This record gives sequence, structure tokens and C-alpha cells, in this order.
Amino acid sequence: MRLNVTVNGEPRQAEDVWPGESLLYVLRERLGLPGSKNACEQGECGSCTVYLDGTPVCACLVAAGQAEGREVRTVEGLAEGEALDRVQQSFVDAGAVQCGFCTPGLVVAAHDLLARVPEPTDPEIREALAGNLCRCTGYEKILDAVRLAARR
Amino acid sequence: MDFLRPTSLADALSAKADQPEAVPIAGGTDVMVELNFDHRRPSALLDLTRVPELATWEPTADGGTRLGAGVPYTRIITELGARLPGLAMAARTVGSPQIRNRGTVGGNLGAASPAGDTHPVLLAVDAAVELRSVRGTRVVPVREFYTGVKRSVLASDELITAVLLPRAGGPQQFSKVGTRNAMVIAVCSFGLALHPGDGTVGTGIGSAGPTPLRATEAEWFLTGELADGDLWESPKPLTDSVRRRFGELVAEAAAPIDDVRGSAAYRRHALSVLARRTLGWAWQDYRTGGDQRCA
Amino acid sequence: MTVSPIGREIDRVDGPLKVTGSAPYAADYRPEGLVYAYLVQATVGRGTVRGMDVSRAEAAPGVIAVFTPFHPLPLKSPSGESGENYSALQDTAVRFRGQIIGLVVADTFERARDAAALVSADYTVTPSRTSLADAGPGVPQGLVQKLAPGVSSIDAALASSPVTITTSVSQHAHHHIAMEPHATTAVWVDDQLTVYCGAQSPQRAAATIAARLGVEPAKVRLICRYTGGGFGQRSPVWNEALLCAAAARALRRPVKLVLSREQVFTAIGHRAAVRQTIRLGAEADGRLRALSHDSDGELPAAGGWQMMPGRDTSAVAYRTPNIRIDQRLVTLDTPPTWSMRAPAEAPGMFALETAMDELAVRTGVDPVELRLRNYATEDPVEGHPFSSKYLDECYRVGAERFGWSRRTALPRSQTDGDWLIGMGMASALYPAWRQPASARARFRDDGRVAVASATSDVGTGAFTMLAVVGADELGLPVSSIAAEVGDSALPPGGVGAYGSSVTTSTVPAVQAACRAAVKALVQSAVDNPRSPFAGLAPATVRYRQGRIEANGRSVDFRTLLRTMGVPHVEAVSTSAPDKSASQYKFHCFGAHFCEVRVHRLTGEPRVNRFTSVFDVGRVVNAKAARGQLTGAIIWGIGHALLEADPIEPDGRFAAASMADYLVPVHADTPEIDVHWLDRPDPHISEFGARGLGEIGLVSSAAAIGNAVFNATGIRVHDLPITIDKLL
Repeated sequence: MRLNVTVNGEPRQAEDVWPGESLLYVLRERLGLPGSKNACEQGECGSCTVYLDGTPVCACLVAAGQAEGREVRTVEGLAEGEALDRVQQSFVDAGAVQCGFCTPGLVVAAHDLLARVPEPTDPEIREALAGNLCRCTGYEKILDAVRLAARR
Repeated sequence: MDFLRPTSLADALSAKADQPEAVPIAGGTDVMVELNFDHRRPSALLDLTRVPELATWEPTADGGTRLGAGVPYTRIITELGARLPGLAMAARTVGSPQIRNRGTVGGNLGAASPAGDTHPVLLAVDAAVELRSVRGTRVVPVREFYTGVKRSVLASDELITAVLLPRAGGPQQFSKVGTRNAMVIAVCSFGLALHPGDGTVGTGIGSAGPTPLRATEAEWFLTGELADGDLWESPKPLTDSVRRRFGELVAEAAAPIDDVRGSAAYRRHALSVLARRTLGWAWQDYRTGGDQRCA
Repeated sequence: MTVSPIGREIDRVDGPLKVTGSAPYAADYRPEGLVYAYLVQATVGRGTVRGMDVSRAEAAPGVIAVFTPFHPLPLKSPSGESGENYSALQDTAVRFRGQIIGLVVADTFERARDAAALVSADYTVTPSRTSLADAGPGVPQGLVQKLAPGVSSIDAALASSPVTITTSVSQHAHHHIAMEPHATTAVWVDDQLTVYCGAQSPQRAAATIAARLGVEPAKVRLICRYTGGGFGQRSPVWNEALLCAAAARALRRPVKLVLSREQVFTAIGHRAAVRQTIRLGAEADGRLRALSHDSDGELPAAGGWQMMPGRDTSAVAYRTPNIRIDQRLVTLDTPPTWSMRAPAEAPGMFALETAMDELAVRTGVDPVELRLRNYATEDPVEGHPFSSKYLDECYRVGAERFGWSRRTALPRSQTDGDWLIGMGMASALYPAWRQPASARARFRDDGRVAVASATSDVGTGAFTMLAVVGADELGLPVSSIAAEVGDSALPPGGVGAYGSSVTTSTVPAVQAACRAAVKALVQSAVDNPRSPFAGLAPATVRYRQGRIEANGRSVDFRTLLRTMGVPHVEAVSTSAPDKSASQYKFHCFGAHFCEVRVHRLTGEPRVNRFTSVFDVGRVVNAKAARGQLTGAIIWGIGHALLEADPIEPDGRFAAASMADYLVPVHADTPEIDVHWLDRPDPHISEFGARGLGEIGLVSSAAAIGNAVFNATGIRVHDLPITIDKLL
């Protein structure tokens, strides 16, 4: 089937989409947007977190056809030109990035948290990011990054 | 594979009638995992996310709530915390924000996994499931809905369209034990609802049997104790022996197995703790804040 | 004057690419003409594939090829290197459930996956050996023993000790769970292969691929600039990557093979299950007379990493006149094993530090004091002095920062509502390892200096380490250094990212390369006729902070290179440990202090806080170091409380998905106070760094277990410490 979806503000089309494939697969393999990562395929790790009509979701759990006509915003669409979004900049500054594979999903999830809760408490941050696994950092610096972004 | 994309309930029902093998998908939190793992390759997916009738909730004439099967957990938490306190508590423990943004009670019922987080509360509050097909509508008490491991009374041409929840006439509680602080499948869980109106109580047990279970003996025992002591009218603190016995009866109602998440013995023990604990909270709530809630 | 960046909080140079999603990982490449492969895995635990029906798969839409043992892709047998001891599809033997028995290639991933599900196989099944307990005892692998004069055996030494402790512990298989599932994109251009594949050692991996494909080493280039975690699982090359490269060769087009997470659990090695027994003999005051450490580790028939948990732990940790380390391996029909972060040290020190805590309880000696009474200043077996050891300071500083003096030794004596509170500690150690390493420094006419080494940055911070050390050596800002790693085509001699050895080994090489590049730049400046310094004696020309200076003239290197018409000047240097190093024992040390709470009624254990103090030599980048140490400590929460994959009698992993194999999530993480002593190691290198990627994990699980005992009075010996064990 043909899929029409707006990604990072641009109307995009993908041909020959298998209806059972995930939005994540469409983004990565058909639309050339590999920023969202595929790490568990079951919604356990959050590495594929994207905005779907403004709501953060695991792109691996959205069937391609469910995205028809919807708006998707990925990690590639957060920065304004060369300038990093404050969440992205804070992840760099706080040392919250290591291998980087979980980072795109975490950045989107943290971006959403700060949009909903401008000054989150530590428990709120831990809870909001509980669905984003990181095997490198031990999470402490991710917490720092979100606190830092909230202050900016 | 066909991808069916109805935009009204009528279209969805006729699609399901035409292709009963089509697998309904809403939040995708179960169906997509099966597709991603290639455990299942249905001939068609029936996308329910564009059916507006499923995405709303409304009060019912008797003060209850008709919750569309496709309302995601996040909305239950933000919009229905006061109307459906037990369900909102359970919804808060589901997965992560990303999962709660997509997952639905309809999906939980459709999967009918004994570990589904909302079942204990649905059992405790005596909810009913609205099932529709082109043949008509039927309303099945949730206590009769589950028939086996991941099986229910849902017919192949039917869709789960709503859950009907009675007005919360008293305190409701939900509690679960897990091995992590978040993102965890329950080792066991328990839901409790007090119904001061008719002097009864409701219970639900999760992750400790082939289906979600009611602890009927425990309900009868507590109902009797509360009536005998005239405790609804003059709510004194519950004695330790009542709370302990209630916990024991809940544990006895469970039919758990040993698995990687926990042993059967642990599950029984933990259920007795959860039952005592939630009863303590709920009764305290009734004694102190119950009047305001009921007003 | 430029301030040295060494030891400061330096931002990761690869950070901006990673936060924007623009750093390419192995699965992110989409070369022209790409097709997709999917694995077919054995569904029985052991036996022979009698036949396979591929007709439905071959007829499925989009399918290009189906390879099986009956229609194999040619691969040479492994020779010498440890790891899997067979090449996939070369025979019909099934060594474990999940072994690769087929590869389907199609025009899309979905079609390859669907077709793979249509392949069926007939097996002759033989019973599997899957239980470590039932299949043991294993085959001894190198006994370490030292007995005091006149002592006939370790048993005699133990028997004559006033206090003895016997502690047996066990743990199931562990999985690395690097966030990036294994992926390979293989592209042949004529007879030249480029492989995009996460690897901890790009040059060793490229050499392995060349050898197994039977091509010249120079024909294979492996690129792994960005790799989503290693932790050991990307140090060898697994059969899946070899098959992908072989399929691309056979089909003459690029092939991508991305494993599902479920496949990673079996197609890629895991940390071996292991059972250990520690026996301690001590005086009444806790001083050790004898230490015995026995282990039975899982060794798959299909090959794998040998689990030897006593050698670098009990044979090193404490002063004692009698030691015996008996490490045995038990052959099982399980998926291959592989080293996993602190591979032997994490389980080994869990065993030893649990036993030491039991000795502290038995003798009534405070756990910190007990360790000080048994403090080793030299290797207790071989007698070599430690190159640099400030573990006593770690204990002291850690105890102070943590508030250890507030602990009560009696279990169940501290509560907070329904929660029992407990405190525990444990000491950590990990071998420091300096390998010979090479690096290249290249002054470029764009004004930057490229510092390269063919190692890998698997999240560890190697890119930034090169930039920091290069900047320090050359007197330039970190931003003036372009760091390069993760490419086998870089100069030979890059070290693998394992054994916490990259920084230890590579810093001296970078320093040497920078010095040599400066020399080459000066030489070029006096030799090149277009240079303002032409004809001067090299000794009269000096380099200072990016400028060449002589006779009152000062020119920055960019201008100089452009003036000379030279695009770059470079040098490659190799640096190896000094011969005198053999007289020392090199180790990193640390002390963990941990507070837990355990629910009185449900048994839920949770970690409240950690204080960990390390002696790791000199630190290059405080920001990266803190991340590595903190991340590793959190692995200890997984080790102690969550992670386990039992193998069922049919050879199936019981928890082969991320919903069942639990690792710590954000909400599990406690307050962590990580601190390190600034004590450069004078003998390991001029710079004095000893490596810190793994030590945080060593004994953090033991500290948790010891704190759980202090909270509850329950000693859990079979990991993980789950709720049902705490009632």
C-alpha cells in the first residue's frame, strides 16, 4: 500500500508498504530517517520514541497504516537548523550520551516531559523516562540533563 | 495482508463481519509485538484508531461511566482519576508513558492476559464489557468475560466497544508487586472496591491464575464482617484478625504457578499482603473521606 | 597559556551527532541495491538436521536466495581464536537451540522474515545437557595454588583455622543487552569488502572476517565509527556477520542483516552461568590463614569464553599464606558464551566478598576493618608488589562520605516504616592492562589535527579521550582535534575496546604520535623551500601551542602548511609497556558502600544509595569517567537483583526478551556518589592511567547482597536476590 505521512513538517510518501510493518521501519528503511533506533521491537526500551500527532509513542508499536495522514516528529526534527534543541544541548553538556543508541528516544521523551511539565521533580523525571532503557550511563547524567534543560 | 481502516463504528463492525479473521489493533502494544516477532501473521489488520465512537467516554444515566474501548490509559489517568479511581490507579502502573499513550482497556480485555493490569479493578468494581457486531450488542459482566489463558467470550465477528463501570460508591484500590520500580509485568496484583451502597465488596486478582480471578470467599467474608459489626454505619478500625483472614482468603482464591517472575508460594503470600494492605487503605479512606466521596 | 584539559569535565566530541540522530550505526547504512537477510534458527536443543524444506520460502515474494547446510555459503573453519568453534551452515550438526541453520535473503526485511518462517527442518534429536548442576563437576582448567611451608594441602590449612566459612553461590546466564542489536551491512566492490558492523576491535574483526571468507586481509575494511554498546559481545565476530558478508559476495549485491532482539539472546554469546564455592580459614580476629575458591562454569559445546572467576579475584585480593583456586568448566549444549563486562571479576568478587561479609559477621569484626586486616601490598601468589595501590584510602574516604559509622552490625535493627534498612560494603579490583598500541597524529591544512587510532568507541568515550590527550600534548583546544576511531583502515595497531585497556594503552601512543608529528612538522618546515623556516637547523625551530617559531617569527601550522603547499604532515607511533613493568602487579581498586531497603511484608528489595570510591590511576576526562563508573555500578543492581536467564531442560532460554530479562530502568536508580582518588600509576606509563570501564561493576552486587543481609538477616546465595527469597 501507499503511505502518506507528514514527517518533521514535510509531507512524505512511501510506496509498497507492507501493512504489518511498523512506523519505525517506514521511517528507517523507506524514508531515510535512521535516527529513531530499533532495539527491542516490543515497547520495552523506548529507543524508537517519536511524536505521533504530538504524542510520544514507540514507533515500533505503531502499524504503518495507522500513521496514514498523521504527523510524525522524530529526533531529526527537533533541532532548528544548526542550533540544537535545549534538550539535545543539555544531553551533550551533562554527559548524558555514551554509546548513543538510546539517545534519540530519550531526547524525544525528555522533550515531551518538559513540554508537559516545565519544572519536573526528580521522581517525575525518573517516572517519565522509565520506558527508555540505557545500558551505559546508569541514568544519573540523564537526570542531570533534564534538570539542566528545564533551567534553560 | 489487508489493512482495514474504518472511520465509523458501523464500518468497523461490517469489516469485522466480512473478515472475522481480521485482527483488531488500537494501541498496538500487544498486536505489534506479535507481528514484530513474527509470532502471528494475520490476513488482515483492523485499525480502530480512527473510529471516533471508541475514543470517547461519557457518564451513564445511573451515574456510572461508559468508557470507549479505545481511550488510552493516559486519558484515563488525566480525565477519569476521580470518576474511576481504581482504574486510574491501575492505568498509572502500566508500562511507560509511551505505552500509556497508546494502550487501551479494550486492548487489555482483547488480549485477556492474566497479567493485564486493569483486570483486577474491572473485576472488583463489577464492570461489564460491551461487545458489538452487526448482529447486535451484548453486555457481558467482566466476571464472565474471561474463559481461559488469553481467551474470552469475544466472538470472531465482535468488537469490544466499551467498558461499563458503575459509579464509584466507595473507595477503590489497586496494588501490584514487581521486580523493578517501573516497566514491569506484575508478579501479582490485586484490586479492591468497597460498595457502601449495598454493603458489599469486590475483589480482583491478577497474574496468579490462568485468568484474572475474583476472591469470592474473601468478598463474602468481608461483607459479612462489615455487616455483623455494623461497620458501614459506625466505621471502626478493622481488627487485625479480619484483615489477616481477608488476606488469607484472597491468597486461597489464587491459582498461581511458578515462573521466572516468581514462585506460586510467593504469589500467594504477596497477594495476602496486597489484600491486607489495600483493605487497610480503602477502609481508612472510607472512615475518613468516604462521606465526601459519596456525596 | 592553554589550560590542560586532562582530568576536567570535557563534553563528548561525538555528542552533537548522537543527540540529533545523525551518527550512523551499522543498521543505518542503505547502499544502492541493498537487500535484506534474515536468520533461520534451530528449534531443537541438540542433534542433526536431516533435511530442510525451502520450497515455500524460495517461492515467496521477493525472495532472492535461501542458504542452508544443504546449500551453504562457503566459510572457513575458525582457527585458533576463541569463541564459536564452528562456522554456520558448513555441517548439519545442531549444537544448541537457536543455532543458525539458514539465511534467507529478500528484497525487503519483511519479506525475508516472512520467508524465513516458511523454512522447515527435520531433525534427529539427541538429549541436551543444559544443567550446570547436573552435568558437573567440570574439567579443571589451571589450578592456582600456593601453600605456606609445611602445609600439606588447602584442606589442612582450612581445618587448622580457628574460624572457617564456606559459601556457595550461583548465578544463571547473563546477557549484555547492548542497546544496539547486532547488525551488519556488507558491501563488495569488485573484490574489496566493506563491512559496517559494530565491533570492539575493528582490525581484529576485519582480520577474522577475511580469514573466514578466505580472502586477503587487505581486502576487508570494517567500519564501526558509532556502535551501540559493546560490553564484550562485540569483541569477536559471530557467525551472523560472516554469513552476511558471504551472502553479499555470493549474490554480488549489498546485504544487510539485522538481528531481532530475540535472536541476539541466542546467536550472540552470553555470560556463562557459574557456581562457586569460597572457603575461608581465619584467626579469631579475622586474619586469613587460607582461601579456597572453586568454580564450575558453563562452557558450551559450540565454544565460547572460558569462565575463570577466581584467577583475577581471589588470587589477588587479600594477604593470606595459603591459596587454592580451582576453576572447572562444564560442557553444556547451550548457546555460546562470551565475556561480559568484568567477565570473571563480577561473579568472582561477588563470591569472595559475600564470603568476607560472612566472615565479618562470624568474627564480629567490622567489614571495613576486616579488609584492612587482610590488606595485600603484593600479589599474594606471585609476590609482585602492586604498581600503585590506595585501596585503604578508598575504604577510608568511602566510609566517611557514606556515613558507614552509622551502620549497626545487627541485622533488622534499622527500619523506616514497613521497610527494613541495611548497609553493606565490598571491595573491588580489576586488572589493569596495557597493550602495545598505535596512533596517528596529522596536522591538517584546515587548522585541525586529526588524532586517530584503530580502536572503537562503544560508548566509552574513546573519541573524546583521543581529542583530550591530543589537545593536551599539542597545546591546542580540544575543538582543534579531529578524533578518529572505528575503522580498520586506520594505521595498524589499534587496541580492542576490552579489558578496560583502551585508555591505558592508547594514551601513550597518542602522546608519542603527537610528539613525532611535531618533529615531522618542524622537519618539514626547515626542508620545504616555500617555508619561512627553510634552511634553519631543526633544533632552532620550536613548536608551541599550534605555532612554529624561530628567529622571532611565529606561524600557525595551518598557515605554514598552506604556504608550503602541503595538505598535511603526520606521524604514526607505537607505544608498548616498559620491560620493567613485569616486576609489578597492575590492578585498579575500589570500595563500594551501599544502602538498601527491603519491604518487611512483600520482600521487595530496592537500592537507596551508593557511595563508591576508586583508585584507577590518572583520569583523562572526568565527565566520561563518571559516566562509565556510574553506569557500571548500576549493572551491579542488575547483577544482584534482576538479571538471570535460566536455561530450561530443552535448551531454551527462559527469559529471552527484554520483557522477561530485566535490566535496571531509570526509576530503579538510587543516589550514586562516585569519587576517585587522583593517584597516577607511576609504573604503568608516563601518563599513569589504569582504565576504569569495568571496575564499577566488580563487587557492586556483593555490596547490595551484604546490605540486604544487614537489612533482613537473610543471605541469598543464588542470584538474583528476588522477592520470594526474602521472606
